[in-house]
Amino acid sequence: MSYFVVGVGGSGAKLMHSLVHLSAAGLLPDGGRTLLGYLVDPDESNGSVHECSQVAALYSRCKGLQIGSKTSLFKNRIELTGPLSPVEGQDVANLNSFFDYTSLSRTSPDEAALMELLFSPAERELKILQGFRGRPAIGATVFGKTVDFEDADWKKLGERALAARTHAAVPLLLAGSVFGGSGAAGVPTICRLLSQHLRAKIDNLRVGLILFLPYFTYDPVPGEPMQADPHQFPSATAEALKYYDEGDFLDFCDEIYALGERYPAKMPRSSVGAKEQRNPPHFLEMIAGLGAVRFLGGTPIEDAEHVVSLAARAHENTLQWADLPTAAGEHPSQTAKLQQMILFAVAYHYVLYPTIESGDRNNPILDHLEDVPGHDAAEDLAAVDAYLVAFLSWLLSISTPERAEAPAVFSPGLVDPDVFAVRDGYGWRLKTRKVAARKGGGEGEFREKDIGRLFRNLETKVQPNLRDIHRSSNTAVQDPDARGAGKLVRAIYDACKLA
Amino acid sequence: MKILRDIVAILLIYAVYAVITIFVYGGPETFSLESFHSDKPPVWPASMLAVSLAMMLLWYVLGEWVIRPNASAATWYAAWSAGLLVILIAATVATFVEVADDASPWLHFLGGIGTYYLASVLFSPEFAKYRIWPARLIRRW
Repeated sequence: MSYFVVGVGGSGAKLMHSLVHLSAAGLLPDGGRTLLGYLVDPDESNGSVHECSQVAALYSRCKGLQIGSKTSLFKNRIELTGPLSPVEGQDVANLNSFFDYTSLSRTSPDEAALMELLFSPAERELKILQGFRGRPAIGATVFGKTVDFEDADWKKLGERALAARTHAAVPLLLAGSVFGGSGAAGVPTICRLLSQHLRAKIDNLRVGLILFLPYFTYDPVPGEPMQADPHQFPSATAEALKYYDEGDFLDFCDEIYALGERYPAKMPRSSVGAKEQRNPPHFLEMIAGLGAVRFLGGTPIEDAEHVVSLAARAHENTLQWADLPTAAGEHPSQTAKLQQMILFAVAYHYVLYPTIESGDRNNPILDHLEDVPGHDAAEDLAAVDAYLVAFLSWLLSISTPERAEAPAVFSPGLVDPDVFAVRDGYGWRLKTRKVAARKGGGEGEFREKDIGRLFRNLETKVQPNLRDIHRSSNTAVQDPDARGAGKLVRAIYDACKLA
Repeated sequence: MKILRDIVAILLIYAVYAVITIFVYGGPETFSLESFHSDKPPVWPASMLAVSLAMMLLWYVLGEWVIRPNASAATWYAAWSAGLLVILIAATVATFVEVADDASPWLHFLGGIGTYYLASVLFSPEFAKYRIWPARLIRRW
C-alpha cells in the first residue's frame, strides 16, 4: 500500500522535501504505507529537486536502521523517483526543435503559423532544459505532448496504484506552484491526464492538489533576457486560479489546498534554473506538508459534500504551534511529534552524538550497542546525524524567512533559532558543535544550557530538560525489534518526548 | 525509584562497615551511648565511617544532579578522587590522633577507603556507573 505524491517543478520538490521531514517525525497517517514520490521537472539539475533527492536518500538510510516497530520515528518508507523530465537530450532544447519547427513549416504550414501566433521567436528559442522561465504556456504545450503513461516510471505509478486499490482508498496528490513555469504548466496538465488515466481503473482513487500561490520573490538575474518576473506573479496567479475554476478541477479533485503568503520571502540568490535554483525552505511548505498529511490521511468530510477549509495564523509576523493546521482532533498529537523530532535533532546532533563519537566506553549510553560491531554502529549513527543536520537546516530556514517588504520582521514562533543557529551575513547558519579530541577538538558554539528555551509558545508548560534526556536515554528500549545503532537512536528519540 | 534503591544499597554496604568496626573495637558495648560520654569515646572509628559515607553520598549527589552527564572522564575522576583524598586525610588524622588502647588504624584506611571504593564500583550514580574499575565488568543494573 502506498501514498502517491507528484511534485512538479521547484515548489513541488520543496513540498516533497517537507513531507520527508514530516514523515521522519511520524506525521504520515499509516506507518505501513510507502510514500511514493515522483518529482517532475524539465530542469533535471534544479537545485531544489537535487536537495529533495539528497534528503530523501538520507532518510532512507536512516529508515534502514532497526529502530523498532513501536515508534513513529522514520515511520514510513519513502521511494523517490525522478526528476522525470518531459524533455530529454540536447536535441529538444527549445520549442522549435521540440516540434521540429523547420520541417513543420514545410509539411504543415498551418500548424507552424499557429505556433508563431502563440509563441514569440524568443519563446520558441527558449532553452527549456532549465525550466520554462515563468511561461506556463510553453510548459503546458510540452507536458501535453510528452507525458506518456506507458513510460516506465509513470507505468510503475499506475501499477502500484492499481495494486493498492484493493486495500483502501488510493490517495494521489499533486503539488506545484501556480505562478511559475514548470509547476504552473505541469500540475493542471498532469493532474487532468493522470486522474483520467487512473480513474478509469481505480474507483476509490482520491485526487488532491496542493497549489502554491506566490510566497517568495527575488531580484532579476543579470544578463538573462527571458526569466520569470516576480512582479507578474500576482497576475499569473489570478489567471491560473481562474483556469482551475473554469476547468472544473474541483469536480475531479477531492481536495484542493491553495497556500500563499501576504509578504513574500526574499530569496538570497536569484537564478533562472539549474543547481543555482535552490531556494531556502519556507514555512509555507511545512503548512502545505501538513495539508498533504491531512489529505493522505483521508479524513472524512462530515455532513457536507463541498467544504472550504481555511487555515490562518493568529499573527501576521509569526507562526506559532497553535497556528499549525491539522485534521480535527489531531493537533496535540501531531505538534507533540514535531516537537519531539525537533528536540531529538538538537539533542542528538549537539549533545549526545558528540559524546558517543568521542568513543568513551564508560558512557552508559553505549550499552545500547552491545549487539553490534562498533564500526557498523559508527556509520549508522553518522548517517542519522547527517539526516538530522538536514532536518535542522530545514527547521532553521522555515523559522527565519527574510521578507522582502513587510511592516514587521518575521519573529520565529515555533523555536528559538538562537539556540542552535547564529546569524551569518544575510541569513543564518547552524551553530558548530563540540568536536572529539581525536577529530581535532573544539568546544563549538552550542551551549547546552540553552536547550531549555528551545521551544517558543508551547501549549503546555513543559520545557526540555537535558539531564532528563540523558537519564532516559540510558534506559533500556522495550521493543524487541530495536537493535544495534537503531536501538541507541530509538532510546534517544524516546527520551526526547516532552512529557 | 532507582535512586532510592541505590541509596539504600549504599547504606547497607556502610552498615556492614559499621558492624565490622563494632567487632574490631570490642563489641556493641564499645559504641553504646554511655561509651561516648566516657573518658575514651570511640569517636575516631565513628568519624571515619561518617566521613566515608558522607563522601560517597556527596559523590552520588554530584553525579546525579550537579556534574553534566556528558562531562569528560577527567571531570568525573577529579570529583571521585577529591572524595577519596578527603577520606585519606581523615584516616591519616584519625591514625595519629586516636589514643585508644585498642586503636585499629588499618581499619580507618581499609574500611574508609575500601567501603567508599566498593560502594562506588557497585552504586555510582547513573552517568558515572562505569567510571570506577571494574564496574564496567560487573554492573548489570
